[in-house]
Amino acid sequence: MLMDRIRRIASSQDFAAAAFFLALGAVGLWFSSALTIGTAARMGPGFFPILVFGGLLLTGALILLQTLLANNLPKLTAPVIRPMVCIIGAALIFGITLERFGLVLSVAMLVVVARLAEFPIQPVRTALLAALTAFVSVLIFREGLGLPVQVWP
Amino acid sequence: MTDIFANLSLGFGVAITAENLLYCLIGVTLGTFIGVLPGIGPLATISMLLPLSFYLDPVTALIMLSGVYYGAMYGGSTASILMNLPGTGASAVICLDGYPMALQGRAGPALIATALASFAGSLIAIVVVGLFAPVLAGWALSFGPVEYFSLMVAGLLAAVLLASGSPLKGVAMVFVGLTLGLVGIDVNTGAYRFTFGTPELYDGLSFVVVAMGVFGFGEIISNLERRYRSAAAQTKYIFGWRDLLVTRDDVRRSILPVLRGTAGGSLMGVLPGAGTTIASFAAYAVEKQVARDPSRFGKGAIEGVTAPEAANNAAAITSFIPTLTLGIPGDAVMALMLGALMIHGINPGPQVMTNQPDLFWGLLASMLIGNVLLLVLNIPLVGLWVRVLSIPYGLLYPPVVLLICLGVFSINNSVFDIFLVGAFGIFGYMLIKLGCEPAPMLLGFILGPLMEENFRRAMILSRGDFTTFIDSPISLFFLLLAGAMVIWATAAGIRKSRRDSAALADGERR
Repeated sequence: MLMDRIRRIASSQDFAAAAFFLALGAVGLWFSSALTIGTAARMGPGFFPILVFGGLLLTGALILLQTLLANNLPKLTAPVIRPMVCIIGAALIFGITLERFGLVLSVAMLVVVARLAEFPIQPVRTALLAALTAFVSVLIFREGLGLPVQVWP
Repeated sequence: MTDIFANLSLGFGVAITAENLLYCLIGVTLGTFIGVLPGIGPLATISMLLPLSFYLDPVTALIMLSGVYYGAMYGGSTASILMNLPGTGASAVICLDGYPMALQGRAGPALIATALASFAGSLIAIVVVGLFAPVLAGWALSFGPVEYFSLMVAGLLAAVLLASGSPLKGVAMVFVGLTLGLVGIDVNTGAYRFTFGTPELYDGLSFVVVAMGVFGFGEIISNLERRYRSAAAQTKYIFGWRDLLVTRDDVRRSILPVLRGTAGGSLMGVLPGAGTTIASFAAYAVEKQVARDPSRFGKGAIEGVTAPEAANNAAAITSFIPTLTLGIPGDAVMALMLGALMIHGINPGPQVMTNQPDLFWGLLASMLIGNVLLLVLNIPLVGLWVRVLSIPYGLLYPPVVLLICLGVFSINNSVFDIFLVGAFGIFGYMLIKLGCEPAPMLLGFILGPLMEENFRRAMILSRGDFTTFIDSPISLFFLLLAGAMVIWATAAGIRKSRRDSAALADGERR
């Protein structure tokens, strides 16, 4: 019974959230130790941060307490890796290639990588979308708004 | 009386310029477009338009961005009625009676009725704003840093407690937002805070990057995840064009509901945290309660469509009141508007109404124009919006990813920002997984530096005496309000968990 309860608590969303808040608060306090705190009347750069991280730790602790006492906790569902990797990956690749390879190629790569998140991988649709998006983005961002990026490598 | 006329003529003078009219049209059209489309909301769209708005005049920027917001309230019901799939959160409740109406062949009247109800709700709300905002601003002119700090505390708490989601987690998210606001060089002391040696962070985190990453990417990733779990069947939309126009009976039935919805929606819009979604749900609940025959609801009752529509439009408009007069944003969208103004060097507050009346009145006048444009756009163009719904999401989201990347890039021509927005995308997804609402975080992020500034000034003025916050009657009022809200929320939470455990016990017994 107890093991059951512990397992239920540990796999709940709120428990993970509380863990995150407590961790962030602790890390924040640690990094704030380098800042001078000062007094209330003459606040140093560290004064407000201490208040903020203190508040974070307090609320995190309260949430943790709540998970120990509550009855029906929403469960933590496993993250689906593929969409996140494809979308963020597309953005990262775009960032890396934009200045080296120019607008057209980096846009095309972004679209291709982003489309990998879709289930049946449709190469023709993807290629067409990539071409169209690249063309329109050159029109809008380069010609229309005058963004300082090269079109080609 | 003459005061109002003078202000209105100033406002129209500002609103009826070629540039402002053009951007108003762009805003409302774009707003309707993304309102119609499920999967992209006004919040993500506004955050993506922020880089563009930097190049514009502050009034023009506000006109366009607000056009997107209330425009989305018009378009949102289209997908609800035709596909039982809401285009915006506020239109979710329209599915309940709108879709049955479409199934009965009454899609046309439903769509037209929502357009008319939206117009009526917006119009009345605009009048409310014009009457009350100056009064509120006048009162707030006497606020000092002490009162402002307490007001921000109360406002943030209200925004957290009245909105959806677990209140404690919401408060924690406000603190997370405050944390993000700490990054950068402290203006008062010149100290480097949490910059980890990266020069790009010296100016702090750009709120556009945070908003686009958390809301933009976060929304896309969770949409895609949802499509994974359930291969969402491409729902065919019902086209019952049996009769196109609203009947006199429809209009007769809707007058009081629209008025009630507008009243409720206007009130909800002003309250921080209660937004368009709560307004529309509350309006539906009220109509069902006061109806002579509540069993009609859920089967195509026109009141169930017109009242929420009026409410969500009214709420969208009146939510500008606290933002423009006090500088307190009620929800994430208003936080973005506030941020947009701050980038232009305007610190919203009561002084803005007196120092730059053209901003407020110009915006108000343009809202009037915008709503007329929307009425004109939405009734004949319904067919177009319906066809827009047939664009598969799979073709829509890659360009959105690109818009996010190029958008953040254009702020500082810095590739670092692209990596940063990606990082916040991951962060946003993590928040969704942990069941944490990101809106309170955005509010805390935008208000954080202001809160610190006011707190510091209050402490300097009082020479370190904390009791200054209760010495001022206005400040004391706000703090007591905050305390009352916490007590109310805790009591409601305890009551709810008692009800839940009783239900669980009941279930087990059976």
